[in-house]
Amino acid sequence: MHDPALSGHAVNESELIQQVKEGDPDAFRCLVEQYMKRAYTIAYSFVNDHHGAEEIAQDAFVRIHRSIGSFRGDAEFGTWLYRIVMNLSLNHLKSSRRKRNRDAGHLSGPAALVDTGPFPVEHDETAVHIERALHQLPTLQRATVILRHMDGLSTKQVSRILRCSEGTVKTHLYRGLMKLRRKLQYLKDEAL
Amino acid sequence: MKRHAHMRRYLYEYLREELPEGERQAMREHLRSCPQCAASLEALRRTTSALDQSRQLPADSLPEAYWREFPDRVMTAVRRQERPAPPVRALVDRAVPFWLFHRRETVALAGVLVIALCAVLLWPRSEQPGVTNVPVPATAQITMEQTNERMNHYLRRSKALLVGLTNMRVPAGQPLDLDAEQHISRELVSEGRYLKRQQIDLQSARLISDLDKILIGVANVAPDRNFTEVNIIRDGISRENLLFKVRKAEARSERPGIVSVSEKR
Repeated sequence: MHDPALSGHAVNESELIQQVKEGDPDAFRCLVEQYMKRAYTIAYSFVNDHHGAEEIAQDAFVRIHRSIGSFRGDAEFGTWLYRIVMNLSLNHLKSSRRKRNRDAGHLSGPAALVDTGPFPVEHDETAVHIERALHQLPTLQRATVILRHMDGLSTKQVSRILRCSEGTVKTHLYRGLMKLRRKLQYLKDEAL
Repeated sequence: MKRHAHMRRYLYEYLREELPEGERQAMREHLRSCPQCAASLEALRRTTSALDQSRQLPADSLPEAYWREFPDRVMTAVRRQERPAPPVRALVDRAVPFWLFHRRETVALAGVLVIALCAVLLWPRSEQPGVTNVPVPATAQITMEQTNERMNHYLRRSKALLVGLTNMRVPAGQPLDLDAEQHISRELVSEGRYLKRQQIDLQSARLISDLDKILIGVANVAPDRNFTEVNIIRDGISRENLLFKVRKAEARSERPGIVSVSEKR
């Protein structure tokens, strides 16, 4: 993995961004390495499939590279990136829905299966049920639960990414967690 | 009612001890007198505890090899966007005058090229029986390691799904919620297709084909017939002895080796 300290590149983000603006590919690579997992997580929390999340995360970085010159630094770089990811995710969801409506949503054989790619599942039964329950949540509740609780972002950060008020984030989080609780109701009380 | 809705928004932060002291105190007092909010707090505690026990972010579920390659894929996409269109016009502008003023030379050159191409395509190749192992270059070795890693993930997921289906309670006449199983089956079918395109041994390819029959069956279970179809699928798992085959393949894949050309499909 690229180590900015070894290569002599600045660790400070604003300097990195300046180097990217000047066309330094290593600096850009460094930014990608810093943000790629979270960009993927945000995309996945919306679209719920690997290939979609991968495509969106890659596309977001390509767009960042193309328009880095216009980044003025008035918002955090991460927030800017994640908003792009969110917009791409919502577009992806819209086009998936349109496609599903067009194809009448019925699988007629191998050719009709969606290519979603790998998302390994734990052997652990609880993890399987949690994944299943998360999958069934409404999009914004799922995104909030993953970003706020599982990824540990603050309410403020999540509200900036989702472009909603902090109160809305708290409401989505509460409702999402309560819905998860109902879906996981079959688990024994003492096991939780 | 409004107060409950307002207080509930802060229950998560209260649970995580993220509230400032004044608000924390106010919440504590509210919870003493409100069994509904107290019950909600307890429900949140249990749910977050369950999430924390099996904490796995989507990104963490992918192998490290995938993340090592990710920046390369981004850089490739960036370069593709930046590459200028080939100067076709410049080439055409240079070729046309040459053709116009050197027709004989152009025809002779074209003839030589055609003869050379035919020679390459039609030249007999000697076939050797019993192809032996071909040393694999380092880059191909890395690709095989990545394929092995993905194969292991595929086998583990398939096993979890088969075990889940085999142990599932299927009450007669009641609808089953198979959304998650169908979602996972679709992902596994796609992954199986990807793996079949890589350099894997014959046994693995056959196992993927056997699993495909079950996975496609699961993915296509109709909502109103899922009781019958799930039982048929479970019979299929048992008849094909799929769990045993998957476990055997897992044991085998723990010792990846150089794939010999003779084993290649």
